[in-house]
Amino acid sequence: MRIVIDMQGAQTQSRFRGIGRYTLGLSKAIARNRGRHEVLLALNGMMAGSIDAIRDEFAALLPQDDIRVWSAPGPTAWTAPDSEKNRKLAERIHARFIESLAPDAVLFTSLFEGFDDDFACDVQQLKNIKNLAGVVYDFIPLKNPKTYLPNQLSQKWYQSRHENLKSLETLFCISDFIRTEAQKYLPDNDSLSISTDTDSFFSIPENSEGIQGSLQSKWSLTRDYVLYVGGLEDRKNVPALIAAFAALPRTIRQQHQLAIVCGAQENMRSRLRHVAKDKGLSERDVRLIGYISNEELRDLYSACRLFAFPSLEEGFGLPVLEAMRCGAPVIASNRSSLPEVVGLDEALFDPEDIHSFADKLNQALSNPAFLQKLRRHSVRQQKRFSWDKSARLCLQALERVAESNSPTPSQRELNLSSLCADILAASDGNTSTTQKVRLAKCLANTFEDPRAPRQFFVDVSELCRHDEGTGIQRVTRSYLTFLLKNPPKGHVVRPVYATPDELGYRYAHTFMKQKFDFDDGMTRDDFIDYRHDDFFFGLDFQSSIVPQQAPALESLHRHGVRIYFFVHDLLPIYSPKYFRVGSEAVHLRWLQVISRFDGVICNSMSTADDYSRWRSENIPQRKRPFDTQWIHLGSDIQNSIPSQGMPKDAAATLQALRSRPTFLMVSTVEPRKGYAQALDAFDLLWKQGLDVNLAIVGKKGWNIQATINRLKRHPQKGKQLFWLKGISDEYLDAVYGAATAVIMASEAEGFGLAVVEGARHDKPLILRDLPVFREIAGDNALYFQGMAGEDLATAIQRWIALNTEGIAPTSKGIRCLTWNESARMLLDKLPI
Amino acid sequence: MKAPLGQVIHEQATRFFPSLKTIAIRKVNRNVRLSNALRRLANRPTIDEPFIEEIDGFIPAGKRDASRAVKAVVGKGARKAANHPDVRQHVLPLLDSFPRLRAWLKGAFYASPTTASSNTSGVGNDALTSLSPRGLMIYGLLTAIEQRGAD
Repeated sequence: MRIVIDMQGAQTQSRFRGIGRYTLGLSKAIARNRGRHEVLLALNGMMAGSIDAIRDEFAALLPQDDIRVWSAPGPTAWTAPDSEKNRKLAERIHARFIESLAPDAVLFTSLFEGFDDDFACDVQQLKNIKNLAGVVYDFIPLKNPKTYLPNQLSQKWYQSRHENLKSLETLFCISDFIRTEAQKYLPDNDSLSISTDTDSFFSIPENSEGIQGSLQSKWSLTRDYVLYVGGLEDRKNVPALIAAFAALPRTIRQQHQLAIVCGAQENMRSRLRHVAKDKGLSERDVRLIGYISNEELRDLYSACRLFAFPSLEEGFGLPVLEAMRCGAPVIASNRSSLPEVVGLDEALFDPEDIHSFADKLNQALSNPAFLQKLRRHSVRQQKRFSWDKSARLCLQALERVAESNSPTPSQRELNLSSLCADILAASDGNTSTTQKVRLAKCLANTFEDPRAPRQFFVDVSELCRHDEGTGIQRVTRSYLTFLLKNPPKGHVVRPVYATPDELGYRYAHTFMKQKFDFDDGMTRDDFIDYRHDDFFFGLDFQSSIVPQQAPALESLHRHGVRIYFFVHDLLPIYSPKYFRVGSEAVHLRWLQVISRFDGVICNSMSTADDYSRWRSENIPQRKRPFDTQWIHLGSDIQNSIPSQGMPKDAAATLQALRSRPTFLMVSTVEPRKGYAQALDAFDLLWKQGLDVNLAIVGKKGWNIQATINRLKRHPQKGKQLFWLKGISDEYLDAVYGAATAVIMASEAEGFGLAVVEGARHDKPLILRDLPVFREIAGDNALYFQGMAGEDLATAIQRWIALNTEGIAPTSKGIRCLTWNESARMLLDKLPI
Repeated sequence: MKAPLGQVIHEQATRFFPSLKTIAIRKVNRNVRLSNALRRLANRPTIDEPFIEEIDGFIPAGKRDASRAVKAVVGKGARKAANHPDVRQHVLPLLDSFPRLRAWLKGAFYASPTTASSNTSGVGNDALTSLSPRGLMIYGLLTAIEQRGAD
């Protein structure tokens, strides 16, 4: 059986109240106990802010693919101006969306929503599905319309929601009392009491040390106290609690305080203060406590002498169960659902008889044996409630209905034309172009094309704008080339890009056609279509566009698209001195955005370690796992779509390089790369008469004007010092071939592409002793330490000496991956 | 090192007047010389021929930017107020008497960047060009169905 759970009860403002907690508790238990059944969650995309939290809650229970999102043009709230048309459209879209999931049963977690939220649900439109069930929390507004439905709008809203209840096959009631009420108000529906449970957080604290002190300092609870937790509406009957407390014998009262935990509005609190004053109680006797954390609430429950709950009407009475879970002795009103929750006649009182109430309070506070009995009973009674039990009752009921019904016909292929006609029919009158555009966007996101292949989006935003020809771009080109030829199984590869001028990613159709001669099957650079099972890989490094596109990426993510990014390094964070002013902040913003999604692939173990360290220090723990993986980069230039072309003087330069031992440095000329130290070292060596070349390949970077001036005006320039700026990959390949050894003097690196490129050309390596170079080259290189020119000059002389003896370390032992091998590793690490 | 002046202007305009900035850029892009002069200021690649893109009017764009700014300011204020239980407790009962104002404020309250207009979020950015291929196909169907109904 496929069960669809409509999760809107955990998305509206109810998510901050009991209904939201109930929705999550029951749905998670159903997912846990689903057995052979399939469970899908339906989420309302109009309430986007709640989606991530729900995905997090179900991370360990359901595949993320089984969480589906639908969208409609908002607002639909009854209180929003001119929302009726939107609401009708949204209800139709919601109904067709639920049907498109081909469910055998649908569970609505709350139907009484939408007065001031963008909720939409009209059960009456789900005529093709027989097995519809919903949770019923209470009928309080129906019984007390004057209090709870004060105006026409709210009455109309409630009436429409109540009509929806009538269309359900089964009503799941949160208590036996509500079931009795359901039989009275909805006699034609089947109803079943499935009870309820609390958040598992509520339990007796393992360590109660310090609670007393904290109670005293935070809320001035210096004596034993009687606790009440809940609202302050009339039906909660809190003034009676104050009156009963005031009526206690003087000695008992003076030993106790009354603590009222309520997040109520100031006018209601002030009314309570007046009641207390009238009864001769001081502010010290009655402590009003506002919004508190769950931890604080648990402490208050567990440390109270007695929990008293005088409510006149409840659907269940969750605070009573929470108090029992925390080991508190409980007395409660004998009305509505409370007797079944408390489960002990002796603990009940008549809430409208102050004397009876005061007597019960007095009995509990003055008779230790009775108090102990209540405490022991709490421990026993709370065990009767369990989400798993409630979920199993739900599943059994849904199974029974499914068995008695003929199976739901399997969903025919979605006919978009009739779907559009059906949805348009729900809107009265003409629809403007703007409305149609918004509607079309929502429908495109909600009703995915089942025949469309899964897409593997590859972000090439930077490559599209400007190929800087740096190592990072070589990485992007190389992986992209591989992915285009070897798409992940079951996917088509779609290069995409975004610009700073607009929100959203577009297919990189034109760029791919022009630069890669690749036909992506599109006709132009349209905005992307996406399905819940697509994959987005942020391959290109674009630290300014990604933060700007965060809302678009989050929207993809909310719909279920998994998002990974490639991380080259965290150097601007950990070594900001090497970068332009502001680079650290830009990189930080980029890291913060990419860390919201599903995972990162780093270019080395060192970078992955850096990222994990940064993440643990900067990103709060979350329930959904975050994947941090690493691979090594490739090194065969010919497979990175190399740029071609040799300058006129290339032959002469290469001849000069071959004419004597040449030490090659390849990377952008910037402070971090150690060029100043290298120049110092070679100045020393040349002064000593050593006949060697220094060849530098890399364009001018930033904050390095002094070194650039040295390079430009150096007396050995063009003789023994060669600076080749912005050369093609073809030329670089030849320069590697002509070099004797490769030097990497970088003071910090994410990977160091030149290490593996040098090794691929069988060139010996002289490397600074960095963890990342050790990771890549192991014992197959000569390492040096120190920041002075002499340090590097000594290392070079040592290498020359070792080489003369034939015992210099060679790079043959380094595992040089090809770009294809590296890309295969990349695909293995991605969860596709 | 400071960012080029053009880039700073570009970033600030993106932040404060995104719609007006987009229209201004699209207008400028129709004139190669003017566009390239500004692009050099912002360290951006130059163009060889006029770059024609569909543009909206300045007035609707200005309205969108103004509305976004007002919502952002009100939303920020509301979020700050919400952190103070006392303010919250005094203001919420007042708002109960004005359910529509309450709903509007709530919209502004939750209008964080994560719910900003997006071609992917299902709201805002109403130009036809903002539709994906499937969105465009659905738009065509909706229009055809509506026309058939009218005929």
